[in-house]
Amino acid sequence: MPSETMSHIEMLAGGADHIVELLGIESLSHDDQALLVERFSDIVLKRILLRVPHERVGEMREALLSDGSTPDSFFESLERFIPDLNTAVQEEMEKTVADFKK
Amino acid sequence: MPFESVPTVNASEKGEETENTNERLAVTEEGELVQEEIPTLSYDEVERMISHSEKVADQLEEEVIRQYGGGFVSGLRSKMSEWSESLLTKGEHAVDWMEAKGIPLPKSKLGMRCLSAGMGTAGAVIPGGAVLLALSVVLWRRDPTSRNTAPVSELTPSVHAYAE
Repeated sequence: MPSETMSHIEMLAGGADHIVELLGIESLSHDDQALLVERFSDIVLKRILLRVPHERVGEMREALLSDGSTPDSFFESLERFIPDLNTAVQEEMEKTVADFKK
Repeated sequence: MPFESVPTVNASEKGEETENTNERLAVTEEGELVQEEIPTLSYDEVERMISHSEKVADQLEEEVIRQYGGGFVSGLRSKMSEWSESLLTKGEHAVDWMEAKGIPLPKSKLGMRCLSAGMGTAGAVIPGGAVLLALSVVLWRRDPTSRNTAPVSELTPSVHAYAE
C-alpha cells in the first residue's frame, strides 16, 4: 500500500481526534461527531481561503482546481499564497472553536 | 463488526474501582496513568452548537462565493471528494501499517470510524467528510508534533482484539 495513503489515513484519524477533543464532543455518538467535525473543518478551511490576498485569488483558484491536485498540493498552495500560514491556521482554529462554544 | 466502540480500558479492568462511568484512563506527559473525566454536553448545548455553526458556515459560504466565484466552491468540493474516494480504496492495511510503526490507534469514536473507512470496513464514506481530510493534512503538515505521540500501550489495544 502506498505510504502516502497510509500517512493520509493516519492524518485523517488524528485530525478527527484533535478536533473532537478541541470541541469537547467525546461523549457524542460518532454520527454527531462526524456532523460537527465536518462543519468545523468546512468553516476553518473557508476562513483560511479568505485569507488569500485579493490579488492572488485567481492563482489560488487555478491551483486548487487543477487536474492532479491532491491534499498535499492543496496544502502547498495555501503555503504559497497565504502569508504566515501557521499563524493563520492557528487563529482560524481558535476563532472557530470559540464559535462552536458560544 | 470490529469497530463498533472506541477501544478504552475501564479502570475496573485495571483492578481499580470507579463510580463514574464518564471517566477514562489517560497518560500524562510525565508518563503517569491518571483518571480523567470525559466532558459531556447537554442536548441543548449540542443543538446550540449545530444551529450557531450552521449560520457561521452559511455566511462564510457567501463570502467565499463572492471572492472566488460559485463554480469554485462546487469545484473544490468535487476535488475533495476525489481525494477521499481514492483514500477509501487503498487503505486496507492501514491498521497493520500503524501497528508496525508504533502509531497509536485513534482515541475518539470518529477517529476509529475514519480508520475503519480507510480500511473499507465501515462503508464508502469518510465520516466527517472530505473537508476533514483536507484540514487534517493542513494541520499535520503545518505541525507534525501535534499528532498523538503517546506510545502504543495497554491503553491503545490492537484493533485485532475486537475482530470477530
